Amino acid sequence: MAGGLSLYAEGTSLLHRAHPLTKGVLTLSAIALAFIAPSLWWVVGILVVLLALVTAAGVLRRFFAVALAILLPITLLLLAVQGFANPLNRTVVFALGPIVYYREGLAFAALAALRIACLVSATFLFSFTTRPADIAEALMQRGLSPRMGYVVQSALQIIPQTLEMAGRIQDAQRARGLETQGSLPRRARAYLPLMLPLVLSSLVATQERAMALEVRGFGLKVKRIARYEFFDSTLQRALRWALALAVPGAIVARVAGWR
Amino acid sequence: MPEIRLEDVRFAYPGGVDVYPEPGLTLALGDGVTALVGENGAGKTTLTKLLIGLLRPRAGSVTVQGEDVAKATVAAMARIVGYSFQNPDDQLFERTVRAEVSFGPRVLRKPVAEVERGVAWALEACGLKGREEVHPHDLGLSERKWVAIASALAGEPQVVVLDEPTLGQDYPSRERLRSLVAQLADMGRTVLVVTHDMDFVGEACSSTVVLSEGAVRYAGPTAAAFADRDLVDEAGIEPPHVTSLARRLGLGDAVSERAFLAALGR
Ligand SMILES: Nc1ncnc2c1ncn2[C@@H]1O[C@H](COP(=O)(O)OP(=O)(O)OP(=O)(O)O)[C@@H](O)[C@H]1O
Ligand SMILES: [Mg+2]
Repeated sequence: MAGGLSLYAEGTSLLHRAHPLTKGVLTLSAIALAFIAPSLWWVVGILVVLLALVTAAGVLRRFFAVALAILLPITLLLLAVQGFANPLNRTVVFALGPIVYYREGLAFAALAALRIACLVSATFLFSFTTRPADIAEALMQRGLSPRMGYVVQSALQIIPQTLEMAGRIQDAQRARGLETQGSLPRRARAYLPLMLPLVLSSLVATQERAMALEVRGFGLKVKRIARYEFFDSTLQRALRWALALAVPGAIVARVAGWR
Repeated sequence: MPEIRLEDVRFAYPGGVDVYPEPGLTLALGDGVTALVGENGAGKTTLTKLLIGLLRPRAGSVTVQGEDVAKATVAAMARIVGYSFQNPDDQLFERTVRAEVSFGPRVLRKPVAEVERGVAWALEACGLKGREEVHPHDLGLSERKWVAIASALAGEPQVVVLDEPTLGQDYPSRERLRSLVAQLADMGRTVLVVTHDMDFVGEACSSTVVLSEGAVRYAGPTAAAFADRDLVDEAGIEPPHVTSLARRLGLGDAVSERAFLAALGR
């Protein structure tokens, strides 16, 4: 599938070549650990590792473009709201007349923002280095039924495909004189004529895909041969287990009093 | 003043190479019916999309009827340019043929009488009378193509751009298309037709532009477009059948039946 339909960026880095499962486990574990870890510095540590991996994958610039657009507003909002209005606020950092900024809120906001940064980085790291089609393929090689594999695959493609379809419909409508650019009310008015055809074409596309799958023998109960093998190794397997086990480990540690 | 003018136009798709190499595309088109021909990937569709603003040039300027396309929205250009897409499925989105064809004039807020006149004329000219209530999706490719053409015409635009209207059309359909573009030219409209059907070019188009690998290789009267055999080969086109026949009979380069018969009678 073309790059335009997903975030995937063609590359040859170690991460690009790693088994999709390894990257999947890495992503999910990193996110889980960031939210389980009790203190700021642990989360900073996870974020540093993720950013190092983003750099190693050679997608740092792409990452910054997307991540900043998401993270900057969230962080600023958290810092403002929590610093001024967190119910735990006691210790004053600074005061501008009647407006007082507190330390407890600042700490809470920083931790939350860093966790969200981990979530976003891990997700983008995965999306930038993994072809969407490979995810379902890797899962099916691990015994997931083709039917479920197809569900996974479609779910991953719903957003890019719908966006593409919406773009096509809007081009057709603009070319006929419907203003879709410009002021907010104008764009809002263009929204309604877009939605109906979008839903209908999605239904038609689904029906056509179902027929295409049927004629290619999707429903047959036969043994399947893998399209290609992913690069896997003992090291990757060990890494996957370690990362996967780290999550319950961290939970147990938290319960046992890790602060 | 030319109706359509492109000056040093450069364009590249995201992640792709330049469609029009140095120094860019320069072209001036007058009124009447002009054919735009050239091999697959020559840059024909890209050129037509630049005319209505669906694609924006990286450099250079595009003017249609004196209007600078860079300064107008696509929707504003739609008042001047009626555009039918190469693939009708990229264009059709309504639930009935009538709704589809009347969408343009309706959103352009033309007076009701004008909308009705334009729609009726377009349906008639495109052979869609009696098909008004059908869902476009239930029509065959050739009829979907006609719905797309009718949609481009219903707003009564001064400039009509048709991307491969001859695709998948049988003989009566092509005859209808020929009389349609002739009618448009008689009404003083400017028509640009992208096509791979050289017989159609010879019969229906007074001027021809040959595009090859993003460069204009010929722009002028159709009668002289097929004279340079090397150029014809390079651009991946073949002369109309009647031209090949005329040459074999030593009757010159007639591009249409009429010219052929005239040469024969001499
Ligand atoms: N959406 C796109 N993204 C990237 N490259 C494209 C895209 N559309 C067209 N191209 C490329 O741009 C060049 C010009 O394409 P264009 O569609 O203008 O050709 P064309 O003359 O209309 O060809 P055809 O006769 O096949 O319709 C081609 O090399 C094509 O591969
Ligand atoms: Mg084309």
